[in-house]
Formats: sequence, structure tokens, C-alpha cells
Amino acid sequence: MIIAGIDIGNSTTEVALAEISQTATAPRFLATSRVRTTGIKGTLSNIPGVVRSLQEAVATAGINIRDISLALLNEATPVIGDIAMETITETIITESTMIGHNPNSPGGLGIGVGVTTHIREVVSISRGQPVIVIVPKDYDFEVAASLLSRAIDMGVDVQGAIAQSDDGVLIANRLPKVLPVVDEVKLIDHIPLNMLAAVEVAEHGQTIRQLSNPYGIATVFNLTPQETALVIPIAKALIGLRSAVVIRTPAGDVQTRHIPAGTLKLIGQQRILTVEMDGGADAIMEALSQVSPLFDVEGEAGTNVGGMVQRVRQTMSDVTQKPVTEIKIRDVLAVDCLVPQQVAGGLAQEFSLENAVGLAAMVNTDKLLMERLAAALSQELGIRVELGGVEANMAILGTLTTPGISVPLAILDLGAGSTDAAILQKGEPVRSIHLAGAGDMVTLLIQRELDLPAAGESEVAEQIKRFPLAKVESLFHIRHEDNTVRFFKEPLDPKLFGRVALVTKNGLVPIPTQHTMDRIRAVRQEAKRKVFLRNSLRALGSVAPAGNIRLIDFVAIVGGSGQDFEISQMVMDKLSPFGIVVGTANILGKLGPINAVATGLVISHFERQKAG
Amino acid sequence: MADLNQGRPCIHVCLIGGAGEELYRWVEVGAEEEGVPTRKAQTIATDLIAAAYAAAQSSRFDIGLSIAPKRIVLHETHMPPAQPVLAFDLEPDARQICRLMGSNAARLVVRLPLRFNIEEDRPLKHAERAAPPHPTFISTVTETHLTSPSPPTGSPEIEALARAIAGKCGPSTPREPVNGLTTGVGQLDPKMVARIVVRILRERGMI
Repeated sequence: MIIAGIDIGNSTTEVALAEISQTATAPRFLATSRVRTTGIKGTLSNIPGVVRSLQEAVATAGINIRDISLALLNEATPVIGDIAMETITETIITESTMIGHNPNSPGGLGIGVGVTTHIREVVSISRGQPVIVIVPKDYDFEVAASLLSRAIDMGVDVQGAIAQSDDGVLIANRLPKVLPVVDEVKLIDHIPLNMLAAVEVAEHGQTIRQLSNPYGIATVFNLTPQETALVIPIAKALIGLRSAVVIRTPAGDVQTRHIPAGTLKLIGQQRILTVEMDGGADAIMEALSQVSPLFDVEGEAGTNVGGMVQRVRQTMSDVTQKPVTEIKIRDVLAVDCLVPQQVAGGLAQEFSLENAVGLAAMVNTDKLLMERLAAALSQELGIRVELGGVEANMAILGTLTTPGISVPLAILDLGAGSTDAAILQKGEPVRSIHLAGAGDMVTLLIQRELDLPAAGESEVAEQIKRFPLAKVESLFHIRHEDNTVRFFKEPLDPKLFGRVALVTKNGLVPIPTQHTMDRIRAVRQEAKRKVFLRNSLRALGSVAPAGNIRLIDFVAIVGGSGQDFEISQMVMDKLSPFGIVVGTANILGKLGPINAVATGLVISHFERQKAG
Repeated sequence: MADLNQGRPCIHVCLIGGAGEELYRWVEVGAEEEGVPTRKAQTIATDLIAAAYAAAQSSRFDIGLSIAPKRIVLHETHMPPAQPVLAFDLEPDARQICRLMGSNAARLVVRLPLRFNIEEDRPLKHAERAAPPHPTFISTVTETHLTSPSPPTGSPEIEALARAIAGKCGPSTPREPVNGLTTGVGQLDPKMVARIVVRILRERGMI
């Protein structure tokens, strides 16, 4: 008879199709398939994904869905995770006090301080007063340059200029002396006139020094120590830029509003600990290890973390149709990150890097959900559907089909929603653990740190996670992120020229951001490390004999994130000092790290039949 | 052409089919903003793409442009001769397209991503946010402006606006700091009001 093992994961649904008989020594695997999971794991909305996955498998095997005598679902508590992220500081500039941005080509050089003056008034202004000239885009660069030159010749003390269009270099090149010209200031109408302003343009290849230094700003504007404390957010937002403008307006109070990050109450079996969110991720994880095992988590009401925990609970409650109060968070993973936030009150869409904490949370749901799903699936397909076995046990059985592996064995299941570990030792039952935070958390970190469109709008963060990068250096060659160069016979699409692109199977895909290749790479690798390395150690630590990772001999990596081009190497690198043999599983000797649970379901059923 | 210039690497540009000198100047401007020099080159080719390729071959940057009255082509020597890097029609704004192409030629040299559109005046987020809160008020202003061109009298709001308008329109009158309007306009943000008025005036072509 033909049976199907079905593993519904947070991200993908996998099927293993096999033929078994009483006389055979092992199941004969016919086909496997892997499609995206529809809906949240454990809900009825998974059915379309399961059906599609089965259809794919039967098509490969050349049979009909009706030929399947039995479908097996992974039993027991599916673990679902959710992620959220909040910034814990926010910079707010109440009046238009700064423009700090990196236009591709600011003009001129140096720093100038003066009163903001519209270009049409520059010729008539009094001689002694230093001025910064505002050039809206209706003034052509030639007109602007000739007006400015005339004013300078007449003795007006022009100190610098702010232009709306991309004319900075053109204007600066046509002036009788070298002046800083900041251009591409889109909201030039918002610049207040008759205010003291400073304009700085750095040398090519350098960044501004004066305006990114609080004391530099204080020197320019003659600030008191109290006022200097207020300009720190400005200076901070201007670090690393090539050009900037700071305008002093009387009402221009700058405030860093600290949104209370709040506290997280970790309720364990023995102890309850309360940790401050702004203590950072390490403090939270340290506290977590002290209270372990965790029973529930509460966030302080009226703070960011309170909102975060509440949202997680609400999502879970919607999914499981249990009241919010019954949802218990059984694990959290906290991750520190720096996210760019648009500065409220900026004029050229400035960003400032703010501290944020990402939190992945996980709840255990009950077996009823899977039973409900199995019943619905049976009705839909017209075949028998049963719960086949505990997920962790199934994953181990599937992993044992990898050539060169035997018991004792630990597996590390790097998925999308959770990081799981299980260990099988001779004569002992399988021990397993499910932890919050995996591939989806990595995607979220990449998305937020690089300020990319959210997951619903675009796949770009997910793509960055999956594919290595390259920079298109000419129409005929690219430089990979490891610095090797590859040449092409045919010219590349001009749209790729000069861009950072992803090297995918379908060719180069340009990334729509301004970030450099190095920055994207650093963020990607850091995100993977923060999530998977910490979770691998936590997971193995909690299943290891006596809690000691060193006592584990063999670890096999399975799961969708195990397929990643670098995560498994990172984990191996991290674990090798513990004297552990780590490798990526190769299910059935050909599938790589995926399909372990589905394969295990089939094997488990076969063995039970043989025994019984 | 100056001998001094001959040795210096430049983007080469040739004009064919009676394309105007002015178009070359806009290409030059586009390249200048990126900091790359250009030079006009002579050509015997009559085909636009062939001319661009010849210009590229003569350039030490390996980059050439050719301009006809209706079209502009960007070429690079390593490309197949019949396949230019980019080709744009000079519609609707020939000058801006020439500038864009000049900037693209320079961007090939400095290795920045190319641009494919003239920067359109997309509505900015801040501006949008500033305008909608008081729609009724805007219409009042518009009407006042239409019916009475002389400084209107009446509510303090309108007076404040009139002062703002006067401050913006008359270049001879010293411009009042916008912040000074706070008292007159009550709860409204004076800057916002002034901005709206200026926008209206600009739409009507008054400034």
C-alpha cells in the first residue's frame, strides 16, 4: 500500500510518498515534495498547502491521490512562534532644525555659517551679514550661479548654499570662490528664512566633522552647555554623512523622547524575574536561563514591550481560538538591533539609527488542533488521515536515513518559526525542545536593520537572507561578496550597472537599496548569528545529557534553514570547539536537510506495522 | 580643440543630423554634476548607433554618445557595436533627457547605478501631511484671493494670511519671519498657512 507522510511546518509543507508491504525490509520511497505552508501552522487554512504538496508528490510518482491508502500528520503540540520588534528610543525634532543627507554629489567644500536667505533677495541684502542662500528648483543652476557670483562680487558675504535640485556641483563650479553647496533638499520650502544656519560639505571620500560633533555645533551657534545637550540627537543623526545643514530656529527644540521600553516579567517554575528591556537582549536571555523552565511571560502595561507581548498573545489566541488568558508563552528570544528611523521634522527624509529589541515568542498549542486538521483533511481528500507520531521523534527517524549516521544522535532542526533540538540515546526516550526564533526572525532583522519594505509588500529581505551578493562593477563583470570576479560574455542589463545584486538561480536580481554590499552582508550574517547561534547553543544545552553540550558526540542539522548557504557552516564553526561532530543531514541520501519529519512518519508507520 | 584637452580622458559626444549645439551643452551639464569631463567629437558616421560607437572608441574612457535631433544614444566600446548601452527618444523634454544621458555616461565612468527617469516632482510626504488638516480654510483663502486682490480685512486669520502673502510676493518688502505670525493666526501653524498660500499663488502663476 501507498502511504504519505505530511509535515506541516511554519514555512513549508513537506510530503514523503512511499510504498510499504509486510514482506519488504524497508519502505520504497516514491516521491517527495515541498511547498509553502498556507496559513499559520496547525490551522484549517493549511489544507490548500497540504493538497498542493500531495498533488505535486503524486504527479512525480505517476499515481493518483486516491491511490494513497493512508496519510500521516505529525502529531502533538505544533509550536507556533510570532515575532515583534519595537524601537526603544526615538529622535524627534520639533522644528525644522537639520538636513543631513548624502546626496550623490554635493558641491564645493568646507563649512559656512550664515542667515538663511532666499536667492531672490541675496543681491539686496546688507553687506556685512554672512548668508546661506536657499535655491529652489525654479532657479536654473546658471541663473543661481550668476546671481550668487554677482552678490559675491558686490561684497555680500555668501557662506554657502542649499539647492533643491541635483545642481550642487554645477552651481559650485560656477562660483568665484569655493563654497559648500548641499543639494537635493526636496522640502526646501520648509526651510525657515532669516535663521542662523550652518552648511558643511566634506572632502571627497570623507565625512563631515563639525556638524556631527555636538561641540562643533555648539561652536557654530554659540550654544550654552544646556543647549549643547539638546543637539546631541542632531549630531548623532549626521554621523557618517558627506554633507549636512543645521538650522537654528528659536522654537527648534530638539528632543530625544524615550518611549519607556518597559519590563518583561519572566515567570518560571521556581522563580519569577523581572528584566528591563533596555538592559538589552543579553540581560533578558540571562534572566531567562535562570527561570527556566518558563511558564509564561508578561510585559509591563503601557510600554512597548507590553504592546508586543499582547500582540503575540492576540495572534495566538486568534489562531488557536482559545481565550487570550489561556495563551502561555513558553519561550522567548530577544535580539538587539539598530534600526533606521525617519527623524520626525527632518527636511530631506533623514534617518537616525535607534536601538531596538526584537522578540520572538512561542506558545505550545494542543493536540486537538492537529486532530481537527486531520479530520478536515480526511474529508477533503477522501482518504484516511491519522496522526503519525511526535515531531521530534519523527525528525530523528528521518535523519537516521542519512548515510554515515547512527545512534546516539542529536538533531538541530533549524526551521522558519522555531529552532528545535532532539536527542536519541540508546535505551532512552527521545528528549526534545522547541525554541522561539528562527528563519523568520532573521528575515525580520534584515528587513528592519536595512529599512526594507515589510514582508507583506516585498520579498526583498527574504531574498537577501537566501542568496549571496555581488556588485555589478561593469557591463561585463561582477564582483562577488568574497571578492572574486566573474566575467560575462554577453553584456549585462544596464539596469544592473553599479548596483548590488543577489546571485540567484535565475540570474542577477538588483536590490532596491542604497546600502553597500559590505553593509548588507554584515547585517545578513549578524542576523543569522544572533538568532541561530544563540538558539543552537540553547537548544542543544537543554537536551544534552546533564545539560552539558560536550557530552553530545554527533549533531545533524535538518530543517529549511539548514539549506541556507551559510547558516550550517556558522553553526558548525560555533560548535566545533565543543568537540562535537556537526554536519548537515542528507535525508534518504539525496534530499539534504529537508523532509526529515515526513520521511520519519513513513518509517515509523512501517516499523509499527512490522512489529504489530 | 585644445591640444591640452586631447590627452585628457573625456566622454566623447558627437552631434549628427543637425542636432543643436544646445543639446551637447546639456549632456555636458549632466556629466559635470557627476564630475566627469566631456568633449565634442567629429564623426563621419551617419547612423546614430555607429556614431556613438565610434565616439566611444575614440574616448579614453571607452564611452561615447551621439545625439540626433530626436534621439540620443550611449555606447561603450566593449558592447557589441549594434547594441548600445542606452538609447532614449528626446521626448518630451529634450534638454532634461540629454542631461540625464550625460549623467548616465558619467555614471558609467564613476560606477554608480544608471538613471532611467527624469526626476518627476512626486508629491512629498511632508507636504501632503501639511495640507489636508484644514481643507475648508484653504477654500476660504482661495475665494478671498479671487474676489479681493487688495489686502482683505476681516477675521484675524485672513489678515495674518494677507501679511504672509505680502511677505512672499513683494520682493522689495523685507520678509517677515514666519514665526512672527504666531499671534495672528491663533491655533493654526503659521508656517503651514503660509506654505499653502504660497502653493496656491504658485499654481496660479503669481510667483
